[in-house]
Amino acid sequence: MKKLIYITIAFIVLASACTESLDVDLDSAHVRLVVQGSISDELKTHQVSLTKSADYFSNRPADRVTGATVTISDGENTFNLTEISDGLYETDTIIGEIGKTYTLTIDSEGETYTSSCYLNYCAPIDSINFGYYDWSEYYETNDTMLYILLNALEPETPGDFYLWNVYKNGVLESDTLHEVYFSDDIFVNGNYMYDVMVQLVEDVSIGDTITLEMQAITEEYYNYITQIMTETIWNMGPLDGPPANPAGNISNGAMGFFLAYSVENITSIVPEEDEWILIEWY
Amino acid sequence: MKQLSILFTLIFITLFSFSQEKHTISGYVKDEAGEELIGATIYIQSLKTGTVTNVYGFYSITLIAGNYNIDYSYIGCETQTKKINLNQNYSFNITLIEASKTIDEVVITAERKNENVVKTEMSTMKLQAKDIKRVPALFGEVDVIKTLQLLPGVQATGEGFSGFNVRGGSPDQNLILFDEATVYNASHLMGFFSVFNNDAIKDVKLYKGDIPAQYGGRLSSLLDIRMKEGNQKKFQATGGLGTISSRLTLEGPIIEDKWSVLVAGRRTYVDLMLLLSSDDAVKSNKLYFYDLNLKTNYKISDKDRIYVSGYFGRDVFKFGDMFGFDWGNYTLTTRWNHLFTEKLFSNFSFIYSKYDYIMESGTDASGFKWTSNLEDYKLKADFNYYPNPNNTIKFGLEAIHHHFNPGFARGTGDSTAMYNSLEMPESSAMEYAIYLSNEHKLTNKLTLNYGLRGSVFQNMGKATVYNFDDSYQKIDSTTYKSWDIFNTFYGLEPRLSLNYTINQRSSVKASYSRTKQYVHLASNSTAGSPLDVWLPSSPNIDPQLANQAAIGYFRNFLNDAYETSIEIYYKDMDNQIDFRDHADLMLNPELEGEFRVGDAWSYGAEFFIRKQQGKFTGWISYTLSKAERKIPEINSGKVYSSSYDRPHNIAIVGMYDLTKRWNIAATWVYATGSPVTFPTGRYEQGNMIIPIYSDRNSYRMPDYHRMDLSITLKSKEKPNKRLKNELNVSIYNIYNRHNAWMIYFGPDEDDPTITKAEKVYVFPIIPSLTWNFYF
Repeated sequence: MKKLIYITIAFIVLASACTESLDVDLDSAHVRLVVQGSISDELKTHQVSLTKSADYFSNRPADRVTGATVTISDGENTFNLTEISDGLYETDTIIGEIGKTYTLTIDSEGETYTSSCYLNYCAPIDSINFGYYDWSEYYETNDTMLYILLNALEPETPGDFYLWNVYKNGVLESDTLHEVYFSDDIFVNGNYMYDVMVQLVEDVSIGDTITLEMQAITEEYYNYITQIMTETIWNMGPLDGPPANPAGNISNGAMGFFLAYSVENITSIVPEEDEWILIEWY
Repeated sequence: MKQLSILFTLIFITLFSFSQEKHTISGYVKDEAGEELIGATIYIQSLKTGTVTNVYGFYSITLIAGNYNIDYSYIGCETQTKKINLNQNYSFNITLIEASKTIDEVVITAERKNENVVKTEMSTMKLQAKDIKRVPALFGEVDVIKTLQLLPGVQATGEGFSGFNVRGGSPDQNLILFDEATVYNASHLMGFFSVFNNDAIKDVKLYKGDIPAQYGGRLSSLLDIRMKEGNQKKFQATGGLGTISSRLTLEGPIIEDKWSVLVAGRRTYVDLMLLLSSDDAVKSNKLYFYDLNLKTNYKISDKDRIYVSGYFGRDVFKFGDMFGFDWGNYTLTTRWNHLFTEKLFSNFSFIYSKYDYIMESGTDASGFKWTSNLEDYKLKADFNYYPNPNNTIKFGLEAIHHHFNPGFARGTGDSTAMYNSLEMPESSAMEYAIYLSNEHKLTNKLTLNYGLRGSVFQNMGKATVYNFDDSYQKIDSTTYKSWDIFNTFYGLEPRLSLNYTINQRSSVKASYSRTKQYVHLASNSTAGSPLDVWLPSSPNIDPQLANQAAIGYFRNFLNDAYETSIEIYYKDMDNQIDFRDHADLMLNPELEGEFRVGDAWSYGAEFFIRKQQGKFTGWISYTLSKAERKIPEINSGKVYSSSYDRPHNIAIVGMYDLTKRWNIAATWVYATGSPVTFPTGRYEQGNMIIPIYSDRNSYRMPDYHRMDLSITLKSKEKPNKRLKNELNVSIYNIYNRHNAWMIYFGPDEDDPTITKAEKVYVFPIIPSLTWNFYF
């Protein structure tokens, strides 16, 4: 809903706007540790990547942080992560459990950083459908874009947060954060969600295998990615509030996030066109 | 209490008078159309004393019996002198003739053009509709608020925006009154135009400080806009066809000199172009705004007069059946002027104002509707008492009932609706005020204006108040029944100003005022948006408070042809509102938990030179200022520049009558770039580059400057031709400067590891054409 408002306002204001590149002198920022890591309730390798922040116009890939000691603890057991390539640490000896809090500890260059995250329960998916918009009145395209429509019962407990990824023929399509769909349950709490649009796949052919992955995430992570979007692709300049750093959950001044989540998957084959659902413009 | 007793003693003393025989001259001052003139001067040459008409055009002066020459004058009008032998009370209604009709032989009278020097009032600016009309405008849309932005101490909130900041205050600290009704959102089309149709406006006055005790409720300024009354003598139509909108105003007497009516309308027509499209889907899109002003006034007798005026305006945005969004203001003002005696003028008002918006999408199960509104009911009584030429006493009281319904969103589908509703708690409040002030001429050189306003604010049920802990987390909530008063704030607001007239050409003025504000706009963007909601002070939000002191030197040159002034001010503001980082201000039931409160202050010097008479008129204003804030939870508690801090601000406005028919006007503005927060670092997350920001507002946008030009050609005047018309060409941003509207930082489209900065600009050079007529 809010996204729709942003888009509307952007449409009106920026309809006549033009852009040109500009040289801006920026000061240097001090270098911070950047963490990106997660643990889920799946049997798989769980990874933590450590990099460094850089000056805004540094314009090269981030420096990786090697030689750190990285552990994940569930309160009883502590698991060590091994560095399998520069700055990438992983373990496959741990499976996350719903209802537990996981703590990440990083010792690097004489500093200790920690982070904790609770692993939430994820509601099961009943089914998915494929939907499409009829844009033919506006432009012609050969690219078939299908929207994934979710059918599931949202649990009665308020304060659930979700994130959706999509795989086409086993390949993660939403591999960049802004391609991920995410939502709170404010408007749907306890309701049955009929054909709610939760992802999209481009360039689809009939017979493709599509997997929808639904993650139950924490409120902190939901806020974190909302804030990232606000500071990047949703940036509306003077129509927005003052910019601020997205609030991650790593201690000691480090940036980034350590997430614990549970997962529900559903896989479906793209059916014949007559089974696609035409999505009305509301 | 001490303040109160001093005030009463002072006023009490003035009421003692010597037992000489005295009489009162009173009445109204009007222009040729019968419009009452606000602030016209009445001056008695031999006594070197006088008075001015009030906002209803009424004056009253009581003098010792004798022979007097009384000058009636008003800017742009010829002075009229009346000789009287004052041996009884007189009632004189005076009609002043516009000076431009006799522009070639205009005589600059020696006296009373120096009103700016001798009046006690400072930090005020007055504009007339006909001046506003001559200033070049964006898309040719004449806009009172954009003209105000050219005055010292006043700034636009952003390029092209009709929001304004006064002396470092935020936009919600301006009290905007349209015929005394509060206008809560004075802008159309996302802020690019103001809601005021210039054809319906009579008089505009901005108080940047030294706000009279009669007014309160906002910290930084009062913008008092008065609607025309409607021509009392003859039927008149005024209108125009512009590049983006058309206007029509009809006015005239129903009973000459007794009952007049005015109706004014304006509508933009960008979307009418869409109707030309062959596509039904495109045709069903809408994007427009309109305004409607209505006014009527009826003179029951010389002592009683009734006014009813209303405003109704709306912006409509509709994208097929998919999405609709509309918002607007409504105001209704009903007033009754009554003269108890020649010395005691009164006005009783009932005022209603409302702001609301509705956003709707879809019709099926996923349909959605979001509404928000704010309503005020105000009752008010004002009295002006003119005991003698040396004192003008004003007193009165008011009561406002506020009702806030900040947001309610729900699914609109039938039984299959899958969305729950979300409601921000409704609330009500009462705001009371009582005031007393006296403009007191102590000696020929020294005049004091002292006043005191007492205000009370009470939160009232039915309401739900959330209770927050020290880290702004909701603990629980308290519910109050209808009409339960559960929280009270009150305060005394002293207002004081003095004028020391050095001579008829120069004076020194000083003022001090305290203002309180009990309602607050939940907006954290500099531009503001129609979705912003107002919230009352409550157990969670303390009222805002400001103390402002100013001192100024006023000097006129060359027979008052040139007015100059320098004012220096300092404003200290408490309980200033900011919001936590990434605050969620839309449809958030726990909105009060997003507020962060601290101190703000601003100071500056304003230089002003104006020429109001002759073929060449205009002004130059320069403001040197600073505005800062310190809020414990913002910017790690460090002092930061307010978003409205523009250290240097220059405006030059020139208007020149080439001939009787050709007029040319130009403006040039310059302002230091506004403070902004830029990224200084970056990091990677989820294959995206995320910025790391500098301290709050530690960078600046590029400096802003722009020149606009307009040329007006009037039709030839023929004595027996009623229709007069003029053609206006306006060119906005004539040297096509690409002023930055925002600086966008982001990755390069081709190589996402490269980050770069881009300037977004909205208004390049924009010419426009407007045709105006009246008959």
